[in-house]
Amino acid sequence: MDFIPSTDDEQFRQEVRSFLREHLPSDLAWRGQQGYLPGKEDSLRWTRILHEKRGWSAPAWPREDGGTGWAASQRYIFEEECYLAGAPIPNQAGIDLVGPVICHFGNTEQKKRFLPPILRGEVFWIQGFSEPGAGSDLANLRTTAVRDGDSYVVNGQKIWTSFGTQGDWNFLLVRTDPTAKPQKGISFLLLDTHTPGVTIRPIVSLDGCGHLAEVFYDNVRVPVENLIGEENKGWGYTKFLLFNERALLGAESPALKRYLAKIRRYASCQRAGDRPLIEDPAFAGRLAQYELEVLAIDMMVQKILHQGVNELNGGAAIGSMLKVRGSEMHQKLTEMLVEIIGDYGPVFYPSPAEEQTEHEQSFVGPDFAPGLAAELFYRRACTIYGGTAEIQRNIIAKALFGL
Amino acid sequence: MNFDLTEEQRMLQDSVRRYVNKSYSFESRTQLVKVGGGFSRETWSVFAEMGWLMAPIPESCGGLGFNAIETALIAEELGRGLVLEPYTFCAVLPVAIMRGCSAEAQKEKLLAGMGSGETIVAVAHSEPEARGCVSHVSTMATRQADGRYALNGRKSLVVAAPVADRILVVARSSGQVRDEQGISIFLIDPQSSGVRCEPFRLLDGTPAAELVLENVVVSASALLGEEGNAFSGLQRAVDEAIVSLCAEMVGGMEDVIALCSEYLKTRQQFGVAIGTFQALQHRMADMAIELMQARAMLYRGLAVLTNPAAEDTSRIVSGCKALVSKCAKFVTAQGIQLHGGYGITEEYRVGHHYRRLVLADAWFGNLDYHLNRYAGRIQDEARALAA
Ligand SMILES: Cc1cc2nc3c(=O)[nH]c(=O)nc-3n(C[C@H](O)[C@H](O)[C@H](O)COP(=O)(O)OP(=O)(O)OC[C@H]3O[C@@H](n4cnc5c(N)ncnc54)[C@H](O)[C@@H]3O)c2cc1C
Repeated sequence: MDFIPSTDDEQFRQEVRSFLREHLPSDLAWRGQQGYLPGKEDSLRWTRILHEKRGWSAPAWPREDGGTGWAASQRYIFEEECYLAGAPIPNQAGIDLVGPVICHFGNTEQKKRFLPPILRGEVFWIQGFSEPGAGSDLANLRTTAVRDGDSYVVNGQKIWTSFGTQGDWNFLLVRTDPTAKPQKGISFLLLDTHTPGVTIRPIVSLDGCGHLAEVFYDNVRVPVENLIGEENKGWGYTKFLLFNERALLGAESPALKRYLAKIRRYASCQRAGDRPLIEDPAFAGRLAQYELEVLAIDMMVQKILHQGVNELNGGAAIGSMLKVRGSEMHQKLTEMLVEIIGDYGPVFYPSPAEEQTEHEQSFVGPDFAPGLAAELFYRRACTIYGGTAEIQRNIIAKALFGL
Repeated sequence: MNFDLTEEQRMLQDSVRRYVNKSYSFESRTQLVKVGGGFSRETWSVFAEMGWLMAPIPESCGGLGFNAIETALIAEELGRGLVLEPYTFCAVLPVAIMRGCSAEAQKEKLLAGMGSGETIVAVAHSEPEARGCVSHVSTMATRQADGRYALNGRKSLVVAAPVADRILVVARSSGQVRDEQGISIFLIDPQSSGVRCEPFRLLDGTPAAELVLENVVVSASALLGEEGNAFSGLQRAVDEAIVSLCAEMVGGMEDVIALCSEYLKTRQQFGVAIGTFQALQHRMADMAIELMQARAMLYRGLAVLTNPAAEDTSRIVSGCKALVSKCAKFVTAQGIQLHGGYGITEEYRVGHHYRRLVLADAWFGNLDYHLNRYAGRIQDEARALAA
């Protein structure tokens, strides 16, 4: 242990910075700095740029599948710099979730067919796990797939599918053996959302955006070659995926650092009476507390990145612990961002259409006000998605103490 | 101290609750936001018919002459029902300003119109850098040679301005930006030349606007009461509005808790109702404790507002807002959490209470501001003791 950042890492950070300066289009960065979630076009466009310029579109994948071969610390630096520069979040369901599953469990055919379009930013994936009756209790899912010749026939419904209405491809969990124990009869399928029988209905959420959806499957035929791994073994692949989602992405700590940077910047120019808000002792005290929490999270994330998850550094609990505290901080920091704009906090700013640039909008208040409230509402969900805060605590208590 | 409602108070409370249950369904509210601009004049007239708009108006001006307790009863029920029409901003606040700042002769006509629901009055008090400080007024009122006044400045977050027939504008006729002396209030017609209304919606769909005043010339009769002496009346009016807002939050918290209690009994996961999980039982218990605290603090606010001998009323009201909004933040956020995905949808009622809380926290200064103001009271008392 020495806590000295490696010079390689610092050099790498400079390299990423200059790449972003050169290649991140300013309209993407402007929309990214606002709080609205990026839409499909922005996400894919950025992936295309990363892929074409440097082959950086899926850093965490194995090298032979198109990954970068970066060390974990470099991946983290990359993500952090992208966030700070306002780069759009790529299609996580594709790059972070189904991609690694295909890399690890897919056959050669599937890798050849599905991975390159993800790398090239050509397809947008959506995640179909949750159902109306199967949220926290995911294993209770009821959507069925029945083998019929060389197809599965899928019937049922998914809900809370992020970016559902924009999805080209959908990976989903289906029940293939209704007689087996809940976890035993589940399979992992890949489905083209344009297949007949798929209906997608948007759900408007509190942030005013329609990025969630319900997906209905009515006798949808999926070719058997779109099954990942073996039939009825889907739960195992899912655990792998959820573990990735939690341990590596759960705290979303680069986003936390971006919030802190924004808070400092905005609170220095927003005034309360005769002084900038940042000079207000109550405000500054609260910010100090939040910043310390984030610094602690960040340090632990770096440790995990260097060591990998093992029994000595928290084992199965660490990802959940980081997610619980991280998501609480997302909520506190986005609330603070809205507080900073004072009288403009209550204003509803409709989300800008994609392709819109900063000069085409007119609104009251400071130019960074739009998007902050949308982000605050969106972040109410971060103690719900990817496993609720209560479920994470159950996991922690069980993993650490056998309770 | 009597904590029981009188027969009359109970009837008032029932009348609002019945109206909201019967005529202000969540679906009609959603429609109101989608196609009705977030405000219904018809509903406002119903408020008038029911006497709720008359409630805070003095009997001498044809009103019911009720005090803050009765208006809080009304506000609480409206908050429970997520009612959009801004009772606090267009009834409690402007009436209190008229009561506290204007001369007798001015009151009668305007208050009659407000009580009947015909005249909707919005209040332009805040400015971007005020952040809750009532004396922060940089909008200028300059007296011209002909005795008229010219108004110049920018007023932020004027709730209901786009639908208002008249607007009470707080401006400075003398002194420095945060001086208490030198504040004057003018009644203006939003159609007057020089008034630019930049309209927008609030997060819950309520119409509001920023007002830009560029040489808005008004006659001397537009001035309420005496020039430069409006501060204490205005502060008192804001205090009344804050307590009314606290009552709305308490009503909202009650609704959230009722919704959760129901949901926990019906939603099944892992083969059982989620209410069987102790983690959630304890959460509900904590929410009930927060509500208890908030209601008790609301009572403190009402007690100080209705006690003519009370001192330092305003800073106690600040304490009231700080605690109630802290409690409401917890309860409304947990309301979403306990509903899982459903909690964050537009289609489901519970999340809208959290949205209201975001508004309530920002209005009249946020939690930091009011806690700090209450801290000032403690410091003053400690200094007095030390001296
Ligand atoms: C913004 C957003 C995006 C999402 N994106 C996707 C997506 O792309 N794809 C996808 O498949 N899903 C997605 N989800 C769904 C998400 O995974 C589920 O919402 C989540 O698993 C919770 O399920 P639920 O909503 O059914 O809540 P429920 O499971 O019904 O939970 C309700 C409440 O009960 C509590 N609870 C449940 N069980 C227990 C227990 N054992 N002990 C204590 N408390 C308990 C929960 O913590 C919660 O507070 C998304 C959700 C949101 C909000």
